[in-house]
Parts: sequence; structure tokens; C-alpha cells
Amino acid sequence: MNMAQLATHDPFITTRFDAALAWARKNSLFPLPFGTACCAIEFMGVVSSQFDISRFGAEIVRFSPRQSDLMIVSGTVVYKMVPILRRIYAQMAAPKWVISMGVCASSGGFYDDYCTLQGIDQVVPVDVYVPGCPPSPDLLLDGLLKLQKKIDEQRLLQKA
Amino acid sequence: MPQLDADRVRGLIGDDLIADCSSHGDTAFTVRREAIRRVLRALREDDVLRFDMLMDLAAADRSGLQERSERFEVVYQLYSLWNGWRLRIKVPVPEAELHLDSIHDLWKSANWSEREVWDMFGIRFHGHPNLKRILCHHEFVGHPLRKDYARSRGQWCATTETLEDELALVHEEERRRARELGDFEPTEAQINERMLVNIGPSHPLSHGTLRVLVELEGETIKHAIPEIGYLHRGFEKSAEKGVWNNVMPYADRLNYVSALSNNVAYAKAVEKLAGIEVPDRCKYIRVVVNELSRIMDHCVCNAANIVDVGALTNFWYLFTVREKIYTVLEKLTGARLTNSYARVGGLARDLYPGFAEEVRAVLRECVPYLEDVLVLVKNNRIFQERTVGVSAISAQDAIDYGWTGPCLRAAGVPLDARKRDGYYFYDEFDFDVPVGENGDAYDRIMVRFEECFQSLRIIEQALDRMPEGPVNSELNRFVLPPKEEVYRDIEPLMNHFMLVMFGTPVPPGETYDSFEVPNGELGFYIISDGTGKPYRVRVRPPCWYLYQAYPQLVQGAMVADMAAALGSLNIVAGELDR
Amino acid sequence: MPKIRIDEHELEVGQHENLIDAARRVGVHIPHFCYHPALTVAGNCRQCLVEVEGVPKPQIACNTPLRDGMVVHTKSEAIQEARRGVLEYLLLNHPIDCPICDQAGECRLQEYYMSHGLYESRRNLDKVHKPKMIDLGPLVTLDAERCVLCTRCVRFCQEVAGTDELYVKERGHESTITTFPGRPLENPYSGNVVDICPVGALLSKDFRFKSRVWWLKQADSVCTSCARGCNIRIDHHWNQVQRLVPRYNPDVNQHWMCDRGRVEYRSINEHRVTEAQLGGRTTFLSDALGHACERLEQLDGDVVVLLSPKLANEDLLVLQHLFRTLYPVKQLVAASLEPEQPQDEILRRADPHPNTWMVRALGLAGDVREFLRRSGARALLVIGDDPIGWDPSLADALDGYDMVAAALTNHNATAAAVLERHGCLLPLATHAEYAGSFTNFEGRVQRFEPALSPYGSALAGYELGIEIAAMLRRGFWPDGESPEQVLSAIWKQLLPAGSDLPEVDWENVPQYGFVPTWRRTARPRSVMVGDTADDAHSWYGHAPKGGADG
Repeated sequence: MNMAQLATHDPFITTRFDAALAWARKNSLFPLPFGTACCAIEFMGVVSSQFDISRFGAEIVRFSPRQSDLMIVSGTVVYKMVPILRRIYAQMAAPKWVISMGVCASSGGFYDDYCTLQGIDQVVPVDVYVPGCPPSPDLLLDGLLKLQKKIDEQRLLQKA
Repeated sequence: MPQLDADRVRGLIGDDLIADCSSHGDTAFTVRREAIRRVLRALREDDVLRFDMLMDLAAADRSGLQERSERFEVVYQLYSLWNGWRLRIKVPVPEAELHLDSIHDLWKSANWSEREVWDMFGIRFHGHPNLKRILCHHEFVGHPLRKDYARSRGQWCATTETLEDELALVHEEERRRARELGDFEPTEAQINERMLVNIGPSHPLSHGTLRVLVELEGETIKHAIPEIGYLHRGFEKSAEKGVWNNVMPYADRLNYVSALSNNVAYAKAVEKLAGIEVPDRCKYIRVVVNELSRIMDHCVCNAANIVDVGALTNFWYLFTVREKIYTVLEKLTGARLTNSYARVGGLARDLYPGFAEEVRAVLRECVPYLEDVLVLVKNNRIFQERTVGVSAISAQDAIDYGWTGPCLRAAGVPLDARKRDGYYFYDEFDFDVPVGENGDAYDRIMVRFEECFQSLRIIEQALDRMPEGPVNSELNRFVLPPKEEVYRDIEPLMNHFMLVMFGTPVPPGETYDSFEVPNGELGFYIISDGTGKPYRVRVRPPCWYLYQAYPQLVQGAMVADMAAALGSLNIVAGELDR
Repeated sequence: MPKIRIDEHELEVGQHENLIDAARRVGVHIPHFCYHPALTVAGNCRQCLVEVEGVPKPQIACNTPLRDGMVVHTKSEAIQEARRGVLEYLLLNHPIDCPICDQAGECRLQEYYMSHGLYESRRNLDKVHKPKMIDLGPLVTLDAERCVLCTRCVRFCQEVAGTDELYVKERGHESTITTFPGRPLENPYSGNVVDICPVGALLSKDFRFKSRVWWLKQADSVCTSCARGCNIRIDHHWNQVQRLVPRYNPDVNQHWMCDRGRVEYRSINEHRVTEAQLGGRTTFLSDALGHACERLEQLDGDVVVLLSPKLANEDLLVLQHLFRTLYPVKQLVAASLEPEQPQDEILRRADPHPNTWMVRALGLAGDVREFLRRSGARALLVIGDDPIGWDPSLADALDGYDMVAAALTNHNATAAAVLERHGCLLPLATHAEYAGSFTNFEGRVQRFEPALSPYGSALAGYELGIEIAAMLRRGFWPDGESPEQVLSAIWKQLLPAGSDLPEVDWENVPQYGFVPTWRRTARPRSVMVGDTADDAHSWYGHAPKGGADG
């Protein structure tokens, strides 16, 4: 078995590689705050000194989809915004994750009306839903930790 | 101040008067729609009346009301800056002839408002330069605020508008102005040389959901075309869904950085319509939370603004001020950010014991943060170069655009509804109103800082003067009984049940009430049909009128100045788009 | 006619009119529990107290004879106090049940507490407990704690139903409504006590916990269980009928309806044919109709059509015009094998169909068995009826036909038989899904409104007729675009010549229906001065329950 085959078939190496990759990714998430409404203000609170998202490595917020890998949709997404949400998501490079922050992003919240998208999962795939209106910063951090756990479980090289 | 002379208004309107519908302390007249331009112009140019500000232009679908003449009615709220008088002019518009004359040339603030009326109701305005949708997306079919449009009927949007039509219009305008001044008109080639940059709606400088299409010549902005509606969440339609108190959470999320002010503004408006008087303690508490919200709002606005011009440190400082106030508010209302604290007839709960001491302690801690930030920026050369002289506006233009609040005060107009209208004991508090000189971004930022300090003064005085006593008005027709009683006896249970499921009937009628929120005048035009559910809740958002002036503010400036200009206006999309 | 004054209103009243009814006419609502315009006056709730000038104590409005010149005050402070006092007593032992009580949203106690109660309770003892969820009969359940002992139910059973099943046992605070041992509340009108009960004591087992009343939307309709055509109101939600309640009509059913009519809505909700089926497969309605019409063209009239006396007037008019004039068939009959029902003096008629009168007037009567077995045609079309359900032996009669097609509302035995023979099954809309009219046994034309959106691709009978005519290219399209215009045009254009059928102006059928021919049955009108249909006082915006006074 040559090195390449070893790298992709030997379970020990692949698990170690996957673990290392996951560790690197989850601790250096670059959030793209797709902030539209009140949840964006709460997100600003999470980023601030009191709750300090940089403890978890996610402090480099990048507003450009080319430079980020975690899109945090914080706030209500209305139908007018949907093409833009799709486009921004499409412009992000893999691997990419989406946190739906707040009930408006998760399900439309209490805006059951003619202009509000009833949940961004109709448009982009969501990894973690963080409920709340707005969710308290601790809850968002909990969501981030759950996402990190999910990234831990992602397997790149291992088959199944 | 002297009272508005209704007879003089009647005289000006003359034969075109249909009815006098003054009520609840407002003066209001219904006028024939053919005469609306003449009447409004006469009201503005009259020496005594001088109604020079168009506070709001809205419409209502009256098909469910007993009292109506035609199906639709367009409502103009006028304000006289010099006298402090308010006037409401209503124009019935029949369904068969759904059009009206535009007044966009009389007041610049009417432009977008008329587009909104077209968007929501389908009423056309003759002479409007570009009557198209402003809040709903361009693929939307129908007019959502009409009573026959089902609230939850959503419509998908597949594409974003290119805004080419508006670009063509501004080029037309540019050519026209060049002709007037005798200048060279820009040629086709010159226009094509310019660069079009689309900024937003997903952009750090856009504060959420604002989109601006700028046409640049090098670094200079030739034209800026804003597009809004990316956070239009249907507040006004949702308000018609539940009972009067159900609107409170929606009102919170209008200007979500100062949610408590919006609560109080809405509760005050409904209380005016229903004729309820709240106890003094409630008024003082509302003053305290309003001023706390003011501090929070100004902190966020300035923090974001200063970050946008490049100074990041202040963001952490000012957000810490916000976090400190959050601890107090979380204890008081249960939520940090969107606290639905006010209720129609009072408040959700009384202050907790120790509130006054805690607030004082927190504010004492906040003062050094504010002062530190001021030290960092006030005389900072770079900051001054970025903001002094940037996006300056004259007082006359500001009035024409319908500006209120700190932006108007920065332009030199000392209008503060707290001093002018004196509700909630504001006339007894000792505080100053900071007024700027040039109306540029620097003035706005400084006015906001100074208002924070003045708010601290007001809070101290309010806490000192707060009386003991009930916090809700006595009427259990409006106010929920205490929960312990609700679980124990049938009468409070029935009371609670009926108030929650059906709401309290507010006698049929309508009114306009305004409140000085951190961003300016937040007005509510409310119509009740006699049931427990609101019939129409129209929000007069201060941001709407501020943002309309944005193209004028940044024209001829550099691209980098866009950030300073936009941030200093404090455009909160929740309020702008509702 | 005496003239009286109530508050600021002057009015002329009937000699024997009740003061509560007179006040309602001028928009003054006098709160009451035990009074009902169709029952004798009991005067036991004391809630309707009013001040009559010249009399020192407050008088109950329901039992105060009207004199000329009488002046009545209903809004004075003393009266408010009196009302509050009565409410307080009634509520003293009332259970804390609002969240689980069906009556919430149409409960008089709630309404009256909010409009003139709003006092603080002075209770300092435990409430008296009584049995709850007592099974009184097949349709009614009793919660004795909620009962305010107005005795409307007792009087109803005595006077209207005539069966006298309920009475008040015990006395004082132990008083309870109950039935006699071994004699449950099973008269055929027992459901009406649920309507007239002002609180949540008597509840319908059928409707219990199904839906909150403020979610219900209302549509006026006509019952289709017998030829009386009681006026009803369909309360619906989630596009399903949740309950049927009677509407007031002084000439037809007053305030009542029978139990059988109440539960007949189940066939509107369940086992519906929603999509067309052709040759065992579900297809688009247009495909199935197209296929059927092709065959009809080929058969060139060698078809027999069985309609139903359950179809509306407009359905019958269009279909008989289609199958007699445009595409004449061998035989056209509208009949059904549904057995006769017990008839009584109160409401129920033996004939279980809502529209037999029109069938007879159009000359469509016939014998179903004869028709099916001996028609000699090659194809059979059944619209609306279920002959095989009523007589399963007729299934082999279907074998005599080359083609069978049916347009039915429910998946019944006939539908199954048609599908077995690879026929064409089309979905038909029930009367709850379109606007039309029925003619009851006395020739009274009564309109009904649509309540639900049609299930699947169901069409009304007349719409089906118009479609078939159009596909056979013998079409007529009654001019008009909206359903109202079409229905109007049907009445104007499609009445068979020479019939003594009336000219019905569709848009102006009056509120209580009208009997347009000379063949009226002599039925005394109940003494009900004033035509206000429903108790308009409502704390909330929606219609109060039941056509009963409330």
C-alpha cells in the first residue's frame, strides 16, 4: 500500500487527520454576520467584551462571503432579501456552515405575513437553529458550541 | 403657547371642506381631494398658521368602519414648527377613482411616503416622478394593507431590482439642473465612464439591510440611489391581527435598539385614543425607561458610526455601557433587548425593590466610559476630518425633509417634543437640549453624546421625584388582574380571559399621538373600530424621513463619507421598513 | 299600541311584546339569562332588572307588562349595582373553568362580567362542588357546577319538545338539573338545549373540545336532512365543518333544529370524493370529463340519468335543461331510495330530502328501482344519489349497462360499484361548498351560502352541467362571470316554459326565504315583532351562537 492509499484507507491515519482538520476548523470559524434586525444587535453584544465570542475562536467577523465560512443569519429574512441570501450563501466557499439565529430566521418568528420568509431553511441549509427573540448571548454561544461539536463529527476522508 | 385657531384653518380650506373630524384634542378636517394641493400650500404659506412640516403622509382602508365616506382615505399630518400646532387633513379617495395629486414638490418628504401609499393601497399620485413600490419587492402583486388582502399570503421574489429606472431619472435630473445653471450637460460617454458600485444590503456599512447604488467618478459620488424594504416585516398588517396589547412586541422591534421607547410611545397613543389616564408613578417610570433607552440608542448609534469611520475601540466601550444598562433592564422586564414593558393602561409590572439604587450605581459606572470615548474622539484630528463638514444639511432642507430628533437639532433647529409638548412631567425636569450648528456628521455625533449626559440628569430627577402608588390605571377593563388571583377565582379568570382573547373595546375613533424617541418623533396614527382589536396602526417612523435625504447628503462627497453620513443618521431598518 | 320610553328612545310596542325584545329593537341590550322569546317567562335569574318610573323597586324586564306611557331606565347606577350583585351571586360557586370550557367566547357570564361586572370577588369560602361531565343523553353532557339554573333547558323540554325529561332536583345551593332515572335526554330535539344554555353547563358531545369558537367562521345555510329546510348556520374552521347551529326563521323553524340535522355534517367532512377517477386511476377532472363526454357523444342519447332530490334548485334546473333539451336522454329521473323518517308536529318531516318539491315541480319524479332495472339504455349516469347504498341488490342492475358514470360527494356503495365496473367517478361538491337554493316542502325557496372551499376538484351540480354542455359543444353559458351572476342567469333563463315555477330573483331572495307560489301551507307566524335576527350585543366582533335568541 503506498502513502496515498495509506492516507485514505488506514483508519488510524484518517481519524487523526479528520480530527485535526475538525479541530482547526471549529476553532477558527470566520463568521459572516448576515445581520438584518434585532438579533444583529444581540450578535454585536456577543462579539463585545462581556460575552466575547473570541474565546471560541470566532472573533474575525468578515463581511465578505469569500473570506468567511460561517454564515450567521441573525434577524428576519423577508422575501425581498431571499435572492441576496441565496447569492451570499452561494458565494461562500466550502466548507461552510449556517447558524440560524433567532426565531425569525428559523421559522419566520411571529411575522406570519405576506412579506416574511417563514424560515431560512427554505432557501439555505441550516446547521444549527438558535431559538429566542432575540436569543440571549449565552444561547448563541451554546449554539456555536453545538456547531463546533457538529464539525467535530464531520468526516472528510473516512468512509462512513 | 396659544391654541390653534381652527376657524382660521376652516377659512383657508373654504368650500372644499367636507367635515370637521376633530376629536381627542386633535384638530382634523376632511377635505375634497381635488383641492388638496391648494389647501396644503395655503396652510403652509399662511403667516399665522405656518404649517411648514409634513410630519406624515399615510392612508387607511376604511371598508370595515361604520363611519366613512369613501373606501380609502389619505391622511396628512401637518406640524407648525414655530407654533407647535398639529393639524390633520384627511382626503377621502373613492375606490372607483383611486388617484390623487402628488405633493412631492411641496415637501420633499412626500416622495417616499406617496410611494408607500401606492405600494400598500394602490392609490396613484399624479405628478409623482417615480411611483413604484418601495417596501414590497418588485414582483409583488396586490396591495397588502387593503382589508381584502389575506395577511399570510406571501409572495416569493426571485430577483433583485437593478434600479436602472431610478438611475435614468437621476441622470435626467442632473441634465436638467446643468441646463438650468448654464453648465455643460454630462454626455453619454461621460456617464458611462462612471463606475456603478452596489453597496448592500449585506454589507458592514449598511447597518443591516440598506442598499445603496452609488455612481462614482473616481472617489466622488455623483449619485446615490438608496433602496429600502429589505426588512419590511409587515408591522402594520400584523398589528391588525391581535388585540391592542398584542402590538407591543411588534412595537418593540420597530427601533430595536431602543425598544422601551417604542413601547411607551404606542401605549401612550392608545391611552390617548381610549381616554385613559395613567397614574403619576407610571409616568415617571416611563420617563426613566425612555431615557435609559435614549442612552442605549445613542451609544449604539455612535459606536457603529465611529467604527465605520475606523475607530474600533470605542465600540467596546460604548457597548459596555449598553451591557450595564441591560443588566438593570433584564431584572426589570425579563429581557435584554426587546422588552415589552409598557401596557395599555400602565406597565407590565412595577419596579423591583432597589431599582433606583441600582440604576444610579449603573449610571455612575457608565459616565466614565462615555467620557473616555469623548476624550478619544472629540478633538481627534482624524475623526474631525472624517466627520466635520461631511453630509451637512441646512435647517431649511432638514425641515423640508421632515427631519426630527437629534439630526434636526444638529442642523440648528431646537425642536424637542419633550420640551415643546411637555408630557409626562418633562416640563418640570431641568435639562438642556443640545443644538448643533452645521448639521454635519460631527454635530450629530456630538449632539447624541450630549443628549446622553442630559438623559442622565433627567433620570436622576425622575428617580428622586417618583411617587409611591399604583403603576396601572384602575380600570380592570384594560389591565390584567394579578396572576395569583386569576388562578383562584372565576371573576379575575374571566377578566383575564376576555382581555387576552378579545381585548378591550376602545371606542371607535382615531387619533395621532407623538413621542420623542431617541431618533426623533415617533408618531402613531391609530384608528379603532370599537372592538378589542386595532383597526389600523400607522407608524410614523423618524428614520423614514431622515433616510430620504441621504442622496442629497452624500452627493458630491467621497465614497468614504458614506459611512460617516449613514451612521450619523441612525437608520434602524426595523423602523424604516417596519 | 302602547308607547313607552326606554332610556332615551321612544318607541311603540306590541300589546304583548316583552320588554327585553322591545329594548333590543332600539339597540338597548338588557342582560338576561332565563328569558327566551320562544319559551315561557320564568323570571328566576333576576339579571334583567330595570328601573321603571313610579315603581320603587327594580323590576325584572322579562315579566313586566307594558303600559302606555311607561318609562324605563336601564343604565342608572342602582341598576348597575343590582346587575353586579346578581352576577356576584351567580358566580359565587361557578367553577374556574374558562380555559377548558367550550362556551368561552360565547358565554354570557364572561360578557356580562366585562360589560357591567368588573367587581372584585368577596368570596372567602370554598366553592360548592357538583358532578361534572354528566352524560345526559346521546348528544348532551351536563356540567352541573357551571349551571346558573336559569331553567331554559327544563322549559324547552316541557314546552317545545314536549318530552319533559329535565327537572331541577334538590334546593338551595344544591340545586342541579338532572334527568329521571332510566329516562335519558333523548328526544329528537335535545341538541337545542345546548344552544339555549347561556353558560357552559349543557354542551354538545359532538362539538366538545373540537374548536374554539373565535376561530370559527360562519356561513348561512339550509339543513338537508329533511324537507323542512331548517335554516342553519355552518360554523367551520380549517375548511371543515365544525358544527351546525340553527338560525332564526319565524316561518320555518323558529329557533330550533332537530338532532339528526345537527350531526349530518359529518358526510361533508369525511370520505369525500375529491378527485376524478377513470378506469380505476385518479385523473384530472378535465380528462375524466372529456372521456365521459366522448362516450356520451358516441351514445347519442342512449343514456339514462339519475339525479337526486338532494341537489339544489340550480343544479336541477341546469341538469334538466341539459338532459332534456340540449342532449336529450332516454330517461331522466330524480329520486332516491332513502327511507322515510319519523314525522312530528314540531319540525321533522317524513321526506328526508331537501328539494323534493322542485323535483316534483320539474316533473322528474320516478321510481329508482324500476328506472335502474328496466331502462334499457346502454349507459347510466348517477348524479348525487346513492341507490346502491340504500338497496345493495341494485348492484347487479348496474351490470346491464355498458358504461356507468357517477358524480358523487362521498365514497359510498355506489361509488365503489362504479369503480368496480371501471366507470367514471367524478367529484361533486356538497351544499356547503357552493351557493344555491333549496325549496322546502311548502314551496319556500331558501338560499344557502358557501362555507368551505370545494374539496379537491369538486364541482357543484350546476357547474358540472355547464361543463358537460360545453364539452358536448351544445353549450350555453349563462351569461355572467361571478357565481352570483351565473345563478341569477340560471333562474332567469332556464325555467322550463309553461311551468308554474316562480320567477326567482336570485339576488333578492329575502332573509327568511319566500314562498313564491300560491301553495302556501297555513302555518301561524310566531308572535315576533321586529325582524332583528340576532342578538347584536357582543363584546367581541363575531356572531353569537345559535339563531336562538342567544
